[in-house]
Amino acid sequence: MRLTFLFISFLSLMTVSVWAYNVNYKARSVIKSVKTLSSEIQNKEARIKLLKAEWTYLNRPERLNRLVTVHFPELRLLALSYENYLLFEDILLAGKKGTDNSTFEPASNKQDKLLNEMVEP
Amino acid sequence: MPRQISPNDSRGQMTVYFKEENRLRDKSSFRLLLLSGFFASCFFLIVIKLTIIAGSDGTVNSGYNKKISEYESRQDIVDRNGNILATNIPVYSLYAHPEKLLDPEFAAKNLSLIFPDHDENKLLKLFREHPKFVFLKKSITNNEKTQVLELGEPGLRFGERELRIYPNGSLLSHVLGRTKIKEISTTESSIEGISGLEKMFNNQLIKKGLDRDPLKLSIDLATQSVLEDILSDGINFFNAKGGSGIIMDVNNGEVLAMVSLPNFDPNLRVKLNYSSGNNDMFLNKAVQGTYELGSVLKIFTAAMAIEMGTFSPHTLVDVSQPVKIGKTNPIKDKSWIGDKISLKEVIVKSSNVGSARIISSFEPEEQKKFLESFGFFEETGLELPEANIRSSVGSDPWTRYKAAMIAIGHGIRVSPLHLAAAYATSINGGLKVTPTILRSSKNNNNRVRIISHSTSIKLREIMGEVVNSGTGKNAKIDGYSLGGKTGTAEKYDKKLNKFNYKKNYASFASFFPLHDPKYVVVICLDEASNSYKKTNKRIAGNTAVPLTAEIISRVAPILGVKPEMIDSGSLYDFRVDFISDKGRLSEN
Repeated sequence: MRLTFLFISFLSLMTVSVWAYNVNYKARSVIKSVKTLSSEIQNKEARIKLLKAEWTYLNRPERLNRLVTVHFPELRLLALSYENYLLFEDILLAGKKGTDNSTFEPASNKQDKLLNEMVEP
Repeated sequence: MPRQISPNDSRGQMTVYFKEENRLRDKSSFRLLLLSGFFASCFFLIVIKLTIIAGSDGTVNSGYNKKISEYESRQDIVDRNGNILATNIPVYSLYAHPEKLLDPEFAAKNLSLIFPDHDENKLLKLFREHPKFVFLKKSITNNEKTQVLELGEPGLRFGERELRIYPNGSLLSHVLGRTKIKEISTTESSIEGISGLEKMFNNQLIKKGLDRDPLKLSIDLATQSVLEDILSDGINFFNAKGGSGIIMDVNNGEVLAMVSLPNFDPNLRVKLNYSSGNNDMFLNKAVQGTYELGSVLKIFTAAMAIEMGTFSPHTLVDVSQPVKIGKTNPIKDKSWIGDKISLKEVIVKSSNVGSARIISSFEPEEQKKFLESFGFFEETGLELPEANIRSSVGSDPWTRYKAAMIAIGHGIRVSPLHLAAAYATSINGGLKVTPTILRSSKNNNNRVRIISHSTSIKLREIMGEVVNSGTGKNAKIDGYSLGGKTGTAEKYDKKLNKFNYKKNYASFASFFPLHDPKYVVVICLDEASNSYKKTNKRIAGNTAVPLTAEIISRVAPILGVKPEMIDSGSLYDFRVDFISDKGRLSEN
């Protein structure tokens, strides 16, 4: 009886120590990978932050204004004006009832006309 | 193996045996006690450790995490649409341990090539004088770091830190403010706000924790950019010394754009230097500067007259003779306006005599109380450290003459922000507006009524007429209707000891759309002069007014304000629909 008890105690001690050893090493490796990951996260976050700052810098209003001027011949971008607001009824849609499509003028033509007026005088 | 006790043993033998047994038991029980004590203390230690672990917040306590939390030490500032206005980028500091340098001469020579602001000989001298430690650069970029690393000097070291940058440059510089790097050690530094929002919200920006949202402003970047561009062009065109502009929501007091020119680039970290006169560019003229703004304040005289019930917009006022109070200089108009004109015309034609005549029918104390209720004599409440000023009227008693001068906008120094807030209050239906630079920070449930709704409507109508036929007619634009009041104040010349008519402070306070005001725009120009005009080239009607027209025609579509009041074309019907839809015709 006593012998059995001793044997079982010894066996459980061994099992528990093996388990504790494993857990210990697993925890250590997890800590190690956490360190690697947080370092990676830190680097990525710093990179994102830098890229965001750069993106904002490239999109600053002063530069966009300059680009609009430089690329005016191709892009023909104009500042937003009250004329950009229209009622839905005023938009000539192809195939819409009661609209005469022969007088339909694409918006781009209108813009070109406006530009010619601006450039000529 | 214990000895078997047999009943045949003699009594004497038994006694000896038990004595021996007792002795051994005593000895081993002490050992057992010692051993169990040892195990108990081990067990106790484990319990303590477990309690400590259970009580901790579960983070791994290593040097690494500490570094991460330090890295995120200052939060971004963004505009109302989330565009970044201020952020941080990682940079490095450079320092040297000269005693560890392999070849100080080589290091000094190459460092002076990488950083032209460092002189080779001076560096060598520094290395010799301080063999332990020399701090070389506060912040260097990644590229420069690589160049230094390529030198292969073990004595050159780097510290990680962050640099506050403003991607939009000088745009919004006065609002955002300036920062400086506070050195703690070679590897540690912190950024500290020294003016503007960076100073006001310094603690909130560096707060650590989970709720780390960027600081969201009410500023709209596009509106800000347009306002700054046009105002800057205007200042050049009119040869002005400077100027300021504010665009504010009339209902909740949110500032959408705020400009003060000349401005500065916060990225350059220029230091304030009074001897070189650069303090002018650090002054936020929109909130810090107080000016005698002149006629723009006449609208509050009219507001008071209508609110008290004594006058209506059609009450006639005698403007035939200058107003003389006691022994003081008479208050007169620049030119003959007429005999008797209505209160509305007093404002539309900006008559000094009329305004002084109107205020003379009230007690000076009443005027003081009325202006007080608009918040002129308290801080505006805007979240900027520079906005801690209030309007000043001098310490002399509020006499009838002083009341008359204040009625025409002299003898009272007002900041453009105070003016914008007071205009918003007077035209939004009469509810007090507290300016704010943060997005929806204050609840507007308990708003104080300053003037009645009907007075507010009448004021809108009067100011609409100013733009339609009065001093502000250069502000008429296509697509939008607006109202406003001009002000041209002569600056007091200390050398001449009188008002100098050649030095003006021109301002225009306006709002749009006329019948349902959404935004108030205040533009002030310091010593502007329109060289294309032969007469009246310095008055606001020829300087600040056309500039405001340009600003509103650009800004209104950006802010999504629907156009109205088109004279020709298909949009005309739209205007009628638009106005009658919302029942605005009935208001008039």
